[in-house]
Amino acid sequence: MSLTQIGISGLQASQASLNVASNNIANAETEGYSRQRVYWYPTYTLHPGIGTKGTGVNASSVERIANSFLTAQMWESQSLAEKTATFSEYINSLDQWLGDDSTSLTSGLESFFTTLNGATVDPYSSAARQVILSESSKLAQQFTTLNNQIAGHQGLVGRQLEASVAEANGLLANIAGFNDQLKKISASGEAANEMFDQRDLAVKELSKLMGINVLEQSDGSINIYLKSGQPLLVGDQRNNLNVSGSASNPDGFSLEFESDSASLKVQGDPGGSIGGMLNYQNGTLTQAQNEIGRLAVVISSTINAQLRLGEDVNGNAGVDLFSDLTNPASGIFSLDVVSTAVSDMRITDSSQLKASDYDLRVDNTGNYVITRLNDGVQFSGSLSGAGTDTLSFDGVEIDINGAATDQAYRLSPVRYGARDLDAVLTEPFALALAAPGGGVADNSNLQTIIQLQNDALIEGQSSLTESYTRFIGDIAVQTSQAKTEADGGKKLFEQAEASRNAYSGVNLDEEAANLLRFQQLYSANAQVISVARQTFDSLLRMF
Amino acid sequence: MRISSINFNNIMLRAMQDSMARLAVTTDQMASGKRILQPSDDSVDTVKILQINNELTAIGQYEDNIDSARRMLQQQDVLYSGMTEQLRRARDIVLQSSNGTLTDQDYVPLAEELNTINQSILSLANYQQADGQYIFSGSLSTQKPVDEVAGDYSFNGNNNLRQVNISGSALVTVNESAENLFFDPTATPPTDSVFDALSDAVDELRNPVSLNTALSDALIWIDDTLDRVGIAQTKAGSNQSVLDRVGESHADIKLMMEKLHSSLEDIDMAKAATDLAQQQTLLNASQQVYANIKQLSLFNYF
Repeated sequence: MSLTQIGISGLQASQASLNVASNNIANAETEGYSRQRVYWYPTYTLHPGIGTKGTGVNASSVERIANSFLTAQMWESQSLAEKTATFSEYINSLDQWLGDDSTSLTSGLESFFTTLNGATVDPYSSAARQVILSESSKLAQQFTTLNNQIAGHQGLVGRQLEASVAEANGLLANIAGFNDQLKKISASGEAANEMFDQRDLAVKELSKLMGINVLEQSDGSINIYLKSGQPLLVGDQRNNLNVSGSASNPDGFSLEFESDSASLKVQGDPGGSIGGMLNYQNGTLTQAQNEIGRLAVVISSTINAQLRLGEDVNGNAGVDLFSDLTNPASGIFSLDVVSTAVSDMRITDSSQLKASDYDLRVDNTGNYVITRLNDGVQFSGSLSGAGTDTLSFDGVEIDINGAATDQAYRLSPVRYGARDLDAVLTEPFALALAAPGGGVADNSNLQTIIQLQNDALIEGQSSLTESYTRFIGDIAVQTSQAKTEADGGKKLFEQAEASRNAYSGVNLDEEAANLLRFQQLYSANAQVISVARQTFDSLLRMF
Repeated sequence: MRISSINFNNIMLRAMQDSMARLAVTTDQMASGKRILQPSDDSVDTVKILQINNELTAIGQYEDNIDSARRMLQQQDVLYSGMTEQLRRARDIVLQSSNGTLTDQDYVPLAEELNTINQSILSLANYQQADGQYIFSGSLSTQKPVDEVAGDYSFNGNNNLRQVNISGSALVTVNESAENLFFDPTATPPTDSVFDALSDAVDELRNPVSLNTALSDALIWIDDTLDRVGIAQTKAGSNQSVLDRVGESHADIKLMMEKLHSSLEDIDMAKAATDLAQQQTLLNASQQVYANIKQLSLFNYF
């Protein structure tokens, strides 16, 4: 082999390396780019054995420096970081409203009872009575406002879920496209470094939205599964995700997996920002709505009950100040079309109410189980088989057809309490502040009502304000915990991303050094060609 | 460890973002003067603050109640003084009439004055507030407490006295009934009230038949009523001092609560200022480090 050819092979190799170094420099800030390296290996020797002679260098293969373990770790931690960050953002704004003095129920409850207290001095005064009525509407309004904020967040979760799922479907389509091309390219034996990077970047985006398991295939494509096992992408076969439900659904919004044959609800935590939103909706928002709903039900039922025992200025028996929330028909949800057996739900003892939803299941032989969803406690028994049965749990009663089988219900006795609370009394003199026969300026029934402020009306353990304060404290603890988790998730992701970048990212100094090295190498090889020419010239001069 | 250029940028950017975020929190705290900007900043103290707010609001209402109760008691005090004055003048007239030296003619003006006094005490007993409610009819405040039908006086209210909360545990009575002041439910008509007794005395002075009996009955009723009014006035006075005492203790508790509230919620300005300076220095430092290190590059030597 001639010196010239060896020199040319060296020139070409150094040029290739210079090109790759330049490409690395150009992509130093490109997200998801993996640095590339030219592999040099000597060309085949001629006449192997004694008297071996090399024939130069080959540098045709450009390798992508990537570590699939580090990349997978980055995806995994990205899902966790997004899940915790999304949850933390949502709960943080809930924490802010609840703590806001202008919307806080504590101030509403305080002013309501304060006004009642003020009326003890002169209970006949129409001014004092009018103030009670307006404070009652203000209190009801505050409940409604808070409930609207919760409903607003439910709607927001729904819209963001829909946008996220659309994005996920788009990314899955992209990844399927990459899979297809990578399979073709790998069959032809060519390199497709940038395409791998782009695909990995798309997977990284997907892992922001949900937790995924990624399996690499020998043909260069990848299969993607949900953490719960459903296949999102196998080869170029792709299944769609979908959002079902609405803010008023028993379960709000949920994630559905759609295959050719069926669409089914994704159970458990899908992870990623979608998982964060669903956790917030199913956990915190439901808890918040039930907590303030219960407070509304307890206030309306206890104050109405006490007013009914009193007498108004005209000597009439007392009437309700607040809307009656003890027949929460809108809290009965049948979970399928055949469930029609529950005919009524009543709140019989507000002091036993829990801030929870319940699931009622009746099997095909009439055995029923009622599950309290916030802690999983169950009440079970068998229906009588005929007529109407009344089932009681936690201060609630339902009427159910005694012959019913195969029923599935979600029961939410207090969920809509805050939404439905209203001050219904408009006539100040109809407030029954006196005991029966006590006289128009008697304040003894009012004194009893004021006492309710300190009574343990919530589960027989805490007063109204104590219960609400405890709830705020609970959300605050959850929020700071969520912030800590989000910080941890972020750190973990940053570390994983840093490890991936440490391995695959471009270092400009390193590339500058490479430029110098390969420039030098190029000159050296040019020198070899020059030497070859001089050698040949000297030979020619001999003639 | 190999550091890629993108790593390096990320590290520096994050350092600057973190410093900025901390700076933003401190700025927010200093601007609002509050250490706790939302409950999750300190859930334990938030709950304490809410409880304190609750108590402060309750105290505020009790203070309002104390003010209203004081106004009512002061007004009654004035009425009691008026009653006492009128009763004393009535006593003088009765004593003057019973000394035996006066002629029937002399009784005429005395009868007129005594009648006027009786009406005047009656009007004090039937005193109406600006909104039309009667003070001395118990909880039947829309009914005139003392009514006269054909020279016979009767009490139309009740003895249901109103109590007002002036603290979580203390109640104070803010009214009195005309029955307690002017009537004796155990006596038999027609002399079951000071009004009846005075009215009888007026009749006898105008047309003496058994003047002395009427006058001595009237004197007994006057003295008895002076005692009752005096007792009511003393009660109202001692109730006012209860109001004062409870009011003072509210003020003390309020002051303590406000201090506690401030110590829980308010920012320690000195500490915040130090923090701010430190955070500024940190941000500044990382910005400078970033700018300086950015200049370090092998490309500078090409």
